[in-house]
Amino acid sequence: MDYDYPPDAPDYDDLEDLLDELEQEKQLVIDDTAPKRTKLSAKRTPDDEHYDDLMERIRASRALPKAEQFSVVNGVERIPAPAAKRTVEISSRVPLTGAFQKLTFSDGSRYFLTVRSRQPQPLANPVSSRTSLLSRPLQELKDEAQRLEERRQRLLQERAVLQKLASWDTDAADSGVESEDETERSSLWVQRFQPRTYVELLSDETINRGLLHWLRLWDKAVFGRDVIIKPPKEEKKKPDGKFKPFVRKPAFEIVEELDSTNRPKQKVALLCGPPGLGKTTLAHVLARHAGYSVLEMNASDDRSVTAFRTALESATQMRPMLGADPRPNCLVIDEIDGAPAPAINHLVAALSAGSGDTSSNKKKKKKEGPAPIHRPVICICNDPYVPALRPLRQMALVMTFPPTTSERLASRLADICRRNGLKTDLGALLSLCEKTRNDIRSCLGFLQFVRSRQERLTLDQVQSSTVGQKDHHKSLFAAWQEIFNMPRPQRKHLVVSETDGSSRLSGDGTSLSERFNNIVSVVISCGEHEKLAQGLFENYLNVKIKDSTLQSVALGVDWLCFGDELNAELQHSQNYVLLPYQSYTGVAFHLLFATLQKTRPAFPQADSETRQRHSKLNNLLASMISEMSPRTRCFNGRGSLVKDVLPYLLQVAVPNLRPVSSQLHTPREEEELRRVLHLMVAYNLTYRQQRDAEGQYQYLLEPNMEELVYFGEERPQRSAPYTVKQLIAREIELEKMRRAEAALVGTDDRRGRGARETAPPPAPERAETGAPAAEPTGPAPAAVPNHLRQLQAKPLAERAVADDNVLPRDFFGRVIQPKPQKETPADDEAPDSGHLLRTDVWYHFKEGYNNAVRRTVRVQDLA
Amino acid sequence: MQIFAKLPDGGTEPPSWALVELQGDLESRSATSLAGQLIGDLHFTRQGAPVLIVGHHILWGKVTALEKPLLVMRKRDDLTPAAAESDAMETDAEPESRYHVQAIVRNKILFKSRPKPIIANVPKKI
Repeated sequence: MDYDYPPDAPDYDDLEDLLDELEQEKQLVIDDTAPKRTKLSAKRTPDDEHYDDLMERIRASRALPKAEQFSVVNGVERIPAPAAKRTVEISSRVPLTGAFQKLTFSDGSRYFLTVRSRQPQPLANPVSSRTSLLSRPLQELKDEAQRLEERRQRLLQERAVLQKLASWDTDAADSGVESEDETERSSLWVQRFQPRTYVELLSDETINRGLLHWLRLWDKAVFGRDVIIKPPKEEKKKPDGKFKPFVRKPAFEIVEELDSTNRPKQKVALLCGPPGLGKTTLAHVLARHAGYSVLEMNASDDRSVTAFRTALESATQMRPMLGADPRPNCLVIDEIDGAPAPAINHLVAALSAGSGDTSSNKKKKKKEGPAPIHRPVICICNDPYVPALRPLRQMALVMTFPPTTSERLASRLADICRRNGLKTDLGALLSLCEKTRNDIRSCLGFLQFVRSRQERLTLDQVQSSTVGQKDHHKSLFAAWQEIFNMPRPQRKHLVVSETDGSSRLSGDGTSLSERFNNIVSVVISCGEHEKLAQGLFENYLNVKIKDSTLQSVALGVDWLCFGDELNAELQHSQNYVLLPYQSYTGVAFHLLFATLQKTRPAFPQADSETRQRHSKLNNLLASMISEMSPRTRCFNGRGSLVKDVLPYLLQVAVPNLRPVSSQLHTPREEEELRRVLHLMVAYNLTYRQQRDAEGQYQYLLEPNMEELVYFGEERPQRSAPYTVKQLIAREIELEKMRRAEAALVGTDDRRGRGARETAPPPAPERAETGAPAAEPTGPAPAAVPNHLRQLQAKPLAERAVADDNVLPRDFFGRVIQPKPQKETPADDEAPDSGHLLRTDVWYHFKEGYNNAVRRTVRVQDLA
Repeated sequence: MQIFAKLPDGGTEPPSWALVELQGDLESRSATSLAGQLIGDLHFTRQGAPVLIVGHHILWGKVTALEKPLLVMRKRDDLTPAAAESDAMETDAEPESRYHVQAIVRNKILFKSRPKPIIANVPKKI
């Protein structure tokens, strides 16, 4: 596509036509800001609506090269100004402001072109502005580059020939096989037989078409072609209301809409699927097919954010100028699930940038975030559910690859084998396909390996080879499914191999040895033995067990124990010789419990739940022990407390009280209550009111030892009623307070006790006055219980006494004479007010309203 | 029963007193009687609002009119001067006891707000 000026070079006739038109309308303002690309496209499909606008643009574009012709004639450069973009205004008078260019024609008429610089062009067409930036003309550079490229090719060919001559090849069989280039022989088959065109693609047709369609949606933004947008085809399904035809849910959904910048709504395609299905190949083939040059970035490249950014920008905002392939780029990011999250976030930001804004504020935005992307980006991953990919997944067109059908792959493999002179049959190839789970890459690798050694491939070789068994990960659920489900008989066309010992049964996957081998491989490929065993343990009882003596259950549990011992030993001694034995637990379970019925194994949770509960109960116990009175603690070890004391303690600590007021208790009941109180205080138990799920209040033990002592839902038969618990809780608080007080007093001497009794507790008075000077300070404040103590100001007298002993000295060590009475007026007031405040009478304010209670008071009563 | 009251200066207006009503108690620190003790200072602001300072409390109040005025009277039951004087007022019998109007109370000064403390010695520098 040519982005340069229109080929119809203007001449004087055109200009005269133009000037004729100009005379009709005296002054014509022509807007040349629109990119020429749109002008070209508009030329192809003229729209009646914008016809006038279009005509103006055409006129302007014709006028512009005319102006430039002068500079071409005069100087070397085509355009004097560095920026080739202007707004052109033609007038017959000298423009009032700004620079202008005179135009004089043969008939003597003179016109003036106003010249103004203009906003830089949007990125969608960055190439057209480049011509003037180069110091040499573009064509010259292109030719030179072409020359260099040709020279390089020539050198390469020469080197290849030299290598061929130097290489010493003994394999005679290769000589007559193919007429293709000799250099290709050493290349990998995978590359050699890569699909190069759309029709060669092996992957699912809907996926192919879908991705290609998505790529076509970019045409408007990249090439300026109009996109054919399919109307939604909902109305086709309607006519038959009786039964719905089975419509397969599509694996992906393309939003067939363009946004304001003519880009599709889904700015990125995310292809996901297991390895070897041809995702990368598909992306390459389709991008080339749609007219892009492919730029690939994969895991072997630098994945840091800065590197990612430069790669992204260079791929999506520039285009190769040199070489034979000046096509716009299409970025293919392979294995994006391995990229760091910041890089993916950057990609997401770049994709979402510039989607909603107009061109005016795009300039501002460029400084803040990444520049918007104007080229398609295809991301490829194996697992679309990697957490880092989450933001990308939401805005992407996600296409999950279904596996290629074995038949299609096998026929293609057969074709390749035929072309390479490898004799084989379809059965062997099919079994190879199944063995590799349709991994094209490993199939071809295997075939090439076989071909390099011999010319025949038999089923035997396929069966005995270890191809395609690496790099394949089974999920835990799949492994459990395989273990608990009896395999259904498969197609019989897989012929029994001769060398395999298990050939007495037909190889439909149901024979004992096949099941055995299958499970072993499954367990090994899963790898998480511990989790697997947990899943087995939690699910094996859900399977229908046929033998009435539960022999299988006992055996299964034995196997689990064996696996556990193995695991413990493995972890303990790091002796990995034992590792292979671990997988046989799974095999044993399969043989014991597998059924034809579909079972749905649940994820094991008992382990984590139990672990949580264990730590919680440990914390409970620790908190209880730490607060227990030392006299009790010294006789209670942790183990004995849990096993011997607590279960009975909880039974003992339930008093036999009638739920009545505490005043009505008999002496025996009071005695019992006191006993329980002592017990519970000694063990740091109390009752705490709590609201349960139904909104009922109830008293629970705190720390809740019932949880520790009783299993599951089991609860003690004898339990105190709510009111009794309430009473006990209150009494425990009081008892604790009493003990704390007693302890405090106990630490103090006898004098303190005596002082406490004599000291008046004038609490309310103190609160009102707040005058510490009048406070009668008790001789031993420590005797006052802790909860009754109040903060008091430090007595100032001591300080004064201390000051008497140590005379204040100034900097030079001279004794400072206390100054006589200060004469400031503020200090004059001070003794006055102090005198005033020293009165004996004080006012005790009573809160509330004075008219709250009215009572008739008679004078005679007062007297 | 009729009670005869005597205005002190023969019909002129008796001195006007005011009640002081406090929402609270006056108490003594030394738990002695309040009789004869200085309670505090009562001032009036320029706007006429009463201010009472009791101890280290300052009370702001207001003057309200009583619904019914009160009389402050003194009972005299000295017989001899009463018999001797035989004023124009005592036309009737029962000269045993007489009441002298000491004052008339029309207003009361009501202190019902919470007292504010007076802080005597504020440190100069904080």
